[in-house]
Amino acid sequence: MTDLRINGLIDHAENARKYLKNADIFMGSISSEERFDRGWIISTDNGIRIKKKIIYYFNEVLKASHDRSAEERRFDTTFQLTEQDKKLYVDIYNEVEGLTAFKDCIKDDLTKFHDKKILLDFSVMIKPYFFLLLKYLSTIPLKELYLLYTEPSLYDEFTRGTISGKDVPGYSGAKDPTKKDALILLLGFEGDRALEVLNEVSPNLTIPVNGFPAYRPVFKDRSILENKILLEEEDIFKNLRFAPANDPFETKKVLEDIYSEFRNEYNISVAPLGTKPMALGSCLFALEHSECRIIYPYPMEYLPKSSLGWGNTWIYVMKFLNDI
Amino acid sequence: MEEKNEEETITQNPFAGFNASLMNDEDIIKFWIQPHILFGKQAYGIDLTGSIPVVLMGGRGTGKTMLLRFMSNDVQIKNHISRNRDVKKFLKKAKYIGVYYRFDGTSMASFSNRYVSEVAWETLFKHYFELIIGQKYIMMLFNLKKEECIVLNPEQEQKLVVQLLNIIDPNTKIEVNENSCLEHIFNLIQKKINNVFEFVNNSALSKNVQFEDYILNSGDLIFGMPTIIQNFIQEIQGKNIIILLDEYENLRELQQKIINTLIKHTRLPVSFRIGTRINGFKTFDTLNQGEFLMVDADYRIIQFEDILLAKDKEFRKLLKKIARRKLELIPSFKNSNIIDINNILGHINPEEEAMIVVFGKIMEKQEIEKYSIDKYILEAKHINEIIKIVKKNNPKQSELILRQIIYPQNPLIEMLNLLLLKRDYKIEEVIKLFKTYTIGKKTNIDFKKYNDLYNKNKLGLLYQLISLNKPKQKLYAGFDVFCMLSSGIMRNFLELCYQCFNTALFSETDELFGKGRISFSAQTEGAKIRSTRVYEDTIDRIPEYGNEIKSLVRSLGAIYSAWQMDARLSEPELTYFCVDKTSLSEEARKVLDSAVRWSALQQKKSMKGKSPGEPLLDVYALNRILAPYFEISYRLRGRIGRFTKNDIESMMFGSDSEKQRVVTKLGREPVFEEKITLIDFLVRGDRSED
Repeated sequence: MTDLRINGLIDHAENARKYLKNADIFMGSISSEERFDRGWIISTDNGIRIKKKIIYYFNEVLKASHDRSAEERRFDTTFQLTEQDKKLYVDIYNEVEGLTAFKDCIKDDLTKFHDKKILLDFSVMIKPYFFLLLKYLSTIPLKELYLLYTEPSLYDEFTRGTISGKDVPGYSGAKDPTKKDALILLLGFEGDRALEVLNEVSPNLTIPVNGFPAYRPVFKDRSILENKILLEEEDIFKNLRFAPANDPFETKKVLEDIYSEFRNEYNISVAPLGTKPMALGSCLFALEHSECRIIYPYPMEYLPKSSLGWGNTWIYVMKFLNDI
Repeated sequence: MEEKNEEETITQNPFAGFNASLMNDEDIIKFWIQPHILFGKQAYGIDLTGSIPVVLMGGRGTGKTMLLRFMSNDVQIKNHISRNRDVKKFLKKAKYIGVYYRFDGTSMASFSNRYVSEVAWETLFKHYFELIIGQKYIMMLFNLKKEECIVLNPEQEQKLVVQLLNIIDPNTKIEVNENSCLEHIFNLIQKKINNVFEFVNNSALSKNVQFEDYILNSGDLIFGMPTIIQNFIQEIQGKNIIILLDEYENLRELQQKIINTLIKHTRLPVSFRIGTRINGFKTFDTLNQGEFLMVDADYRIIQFEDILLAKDKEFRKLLKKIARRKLELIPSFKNSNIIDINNILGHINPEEEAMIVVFGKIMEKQEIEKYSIDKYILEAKHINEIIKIVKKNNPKQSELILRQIIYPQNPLIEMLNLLLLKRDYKIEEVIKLFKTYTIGKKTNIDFKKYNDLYNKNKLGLLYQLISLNKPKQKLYAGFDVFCMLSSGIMRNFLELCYQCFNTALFSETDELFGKGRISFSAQTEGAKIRSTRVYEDTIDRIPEYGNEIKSLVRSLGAIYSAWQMDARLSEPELTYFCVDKTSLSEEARKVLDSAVRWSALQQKKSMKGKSPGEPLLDVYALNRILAPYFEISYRLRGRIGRFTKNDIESMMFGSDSEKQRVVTKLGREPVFEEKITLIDFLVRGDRSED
């Protein structure tokens, strides 16, 4: 439906200067997770000059702290915010509000925006947030985008409370009623969420994709074990595929392969329940195939600290080849 | 190759894969069993194929989707052909033609965001729903044409297309030529649906997105197209066109109002069948102020779980037929004639189970006669409990008394004697009642009294006997028990079978294929797996008030379990509670509604309170499938006195200490000292660790 194509490469963030010496905008977000500022620190330590910072100040993170103003000052200091930088106070599960705030922030620069170099750290954003941001940035159309992602050292606690599956705004796809339904599940560490999406969609074909190799050996096979009930279904297990947990472009390639195989017979929906880089892969895939749908199980309750420590930080360099 | 297939089917579980949403048309036909309970007069005379709209209400897995899909034209035609009938006669025989559509919850939610006003979303959804059903009508025509049920010559088709285009989009310029065929209409509608989704997708990015297309009004296509189609196609004239809408609970309130309005003002030949969970109607209102859907006036209702449970015998017959159909499809079962689920699961009565608990097996009469009474008195734990009381009351003659009230032929009788002693019956009276009963003087009033006490309490006594003999566990086995555990939900029964066949196929193949039986222990294991999954997975995933429902269910499990161990067994087999719902907060009422919608609780007919003058109370039973998890009864026998607002709301929303307080207040302290306390139960919250 669109002519958008996205190419990209992955490298350690320590090598970011190979691709980007100056960034017009650095986008990040605050969090109680320790990894939230790793992308920022590595970028600045490696000499990338940043003109302006736009930081999401999630209300839920600030509310969860004992001393809100002290916590806010700590985040201001971390990102070395000055007057020209912007803090966007938004709710963590309201990505549409997040996008609106961002658009308001850049509206004066919009005419020349396609030439801007944006460095976006999505490590601690919830997935629908960066899905919607990327959709918007792809329509501008931006030429290049630089994404940062820091792996956690350990996961602490996952979502709490019940969940509700919804289409990610902007990614409802377009269904052909003559086709059957296929659901691609990028497996994560919470088996309940995969089952919830499966029940919501009731697909004729389910294809699980496991993140392998994992970030670290300690995570190996964990998503398989956590999704044991799902994978006990023979018709689902036989379709199991693999994509590297840290590589969005390889994930996109796996999704492209599935798409080529099944597109004629099935409407494709993707549920990005795995790692954020894998989710990014599904986002890039859906941007190129706008008839495909992305479903996300929204948790009802926010958990301020879902990971501990940090691991590798990656830079993903993306080029939008947009003919619009 | 054939050999390999045969080998593969040996280990295939006949009950794997049975979610009707995931089945193809052929599977729907293969596994379809006509539920006479629903189609027959028992469903209060409701005509499922007639012109009055019908709401099919039931929990997940009750068979709504199977029924709705079976009624769709796609499956009906294939079913007709599969019976080697002349396809041209399909429409002659058909009373209705059904079009099926399932509301996908994740998509329905996307018809809403703050960039677009509710009025605009209302207009857009009306337009979208018209297109969806309009496209379903065209697909129905494709299907009828492909199977040669109707004949449309090109000239007729062109004229039909012109008239249809006129209502789909009067602004479209119409040129009648060879391209004016039904495919053209189909593609036009698809284009319009794509426009809707483009708007939905872009509306998340900007508030300035415009929707530029001809907007349809409610009923334009839904009622307009069938009239035109019937005018052109003689074979369809006089048939009801039934729109089969599944998973109505996935719609937003505004979306339900739109469709409620269509149902209220339905125009023949169109009628609706709505599949929904219990309490799946978020509103009965229509878009017209002060107007709402009225049961019986605007629609009939079939409550699946109620009907299936009420017609217990019919439900059993239905389950037997479904199981037989599944078993017959696997050659290794069919060839060995292992196709009767009643025989495979068998039956065990409480007396037999009590023997297994005490002796480790079912004992024949002669075996018991040879059994050493001294050894029995020494080893049987429940006899030890009797000894304690007898010794306390009459230390000198305890041995003599004991021998007058023991009855190894049926340990449950001994348990009843123990219960009577705990209820402060005099020993002489117990002996008298017991003797009259065992002698079998049926005309004697004492026989009747003892017999009534026995029948009322025997299952409760079995639970107490088992608790004395830990780690022995209650068996949940036998066809009758599986039917009861199913709670009127077919999927529960099939899942129970699936789990116990898994165990049997893995570790009991000789017994299964040799004797055609699955052991009671394998069945119990299967029942526990299913029960645990319902508690730990299904209830956990309930999107609305899942935490509160789980909290309530856990507290109920603890209370019921505690009452089972009540020393006087004053209310055996407690499995339901009463509450005046009107006294509860709105939030608590919503929790109860959601629990019923997701079948964690099942609402029963209202009943009078235990105290005089109490109003009719709302009655809720814990879904019986949870009985193995909590090791409680699966029968609907006893009820606790009325829960107050504070009781029930503390169980839903209270802190851990509040929950503990309520559970302790409403429960009963255990009869035997070694039993875990209520607090332990709550704190641990997970009996699977036992």
